[in-house]
Amino acid sequence: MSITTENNEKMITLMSSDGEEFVVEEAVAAQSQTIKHLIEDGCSTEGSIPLPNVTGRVLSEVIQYCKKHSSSDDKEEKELEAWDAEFVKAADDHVALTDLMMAANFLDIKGLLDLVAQTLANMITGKSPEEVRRMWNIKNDFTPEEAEKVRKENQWAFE
Amino acid sequence: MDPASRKCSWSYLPSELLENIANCLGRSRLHILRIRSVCRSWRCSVPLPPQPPLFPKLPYPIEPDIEDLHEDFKLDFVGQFTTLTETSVYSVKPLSGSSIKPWLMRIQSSESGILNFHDLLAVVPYWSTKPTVLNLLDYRVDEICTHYYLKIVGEEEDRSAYYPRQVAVSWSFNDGYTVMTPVSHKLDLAVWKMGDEKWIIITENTTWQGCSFKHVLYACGRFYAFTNRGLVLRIDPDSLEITE
Repeated sequence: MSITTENNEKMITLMSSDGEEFVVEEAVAAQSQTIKHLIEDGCSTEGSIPLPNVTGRVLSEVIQYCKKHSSSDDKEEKELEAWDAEFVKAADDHVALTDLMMAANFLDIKGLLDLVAQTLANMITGKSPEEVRRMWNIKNDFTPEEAEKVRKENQWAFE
Repeated sequence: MDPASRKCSWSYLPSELLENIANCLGRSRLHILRIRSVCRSWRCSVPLPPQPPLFPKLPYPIEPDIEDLHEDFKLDFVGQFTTLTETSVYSVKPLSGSSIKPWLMRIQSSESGILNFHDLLAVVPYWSTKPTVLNLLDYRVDEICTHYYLKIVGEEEDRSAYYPRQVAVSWSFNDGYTVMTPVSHKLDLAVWKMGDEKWIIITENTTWQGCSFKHVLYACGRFYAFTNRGLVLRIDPDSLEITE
């Protein structure tokens, strides 16, 4: 069952992994190529599209992004850029951004994926490998031989 | 909540996502090397950036009329060919000890591929003796700027002199190096592309011939030349087409 609003905009319901429901205009949801294909394939006839990989918290951020980007046209590019900058700032930290990036990848929203990738890249720039490991709780899992190779790769030899 | 205490599986991030991030780091070899040094899965996901080709030998003379250069530059030997030298300035700081101020150093690489090291603040040297190796894993190294010079080399290779004009350099894996410099009292622009036997005067017989070219630079895939009257020319490094 799909609901239709007053101005004849088709609405669909998205369901997050933790059972939260979001009713959004189809045009907004279709910013996601994944959802667009699901709609085209008739997978939304039962009323809601389940998104088992995305939590409600992340999904609400994604929808916020899609709403903004479906309502803006090209003329507002500058304003949209400023909005994007604020949006990733509000995402708060690299863990939230990582969740957002995973969701953008799963939902196939290229603009959001690029935006978050650039933000994370800026965060990494200038950090040492050890600092990056600490940020993301990554284990340094190089074997002694590999570690030696890594050191060699990072070596500058002078005349 | 402290971000680090939350469970995060970033090291298992699908490799194409890590590649997305790596692509956003730009062409800086330093950044890519650092990413590859984090853990095994990152090292597997992000390919080693290919080394730029060694600097080529360029033809000499650069100027169509060698006398033009001699007015403000005396060469006391006969030039045979030209070489390109790259000089980058880096800020360097040990990873341990946050109170230590960053150091400035200049690294020069030439056609032989040998790196030459200069301590820019040699008055209070950071290293008691000149280091022979420097590991990027022990220092925070950031690139500040890069410059190029042309060096004219004589028949006996120990005779050489720096060419006294600014040069702009672009390189790509497909086409190698392209170099642009003002010539003929800076009234023309000359370009050399890898493989060419001669420098080409690209402003010859154009409306821009005779403009006094003050600066040249390469940025965002294009050469730019600035004249002393505020005119800016954009030059496509492939087609050598000039636009104002």
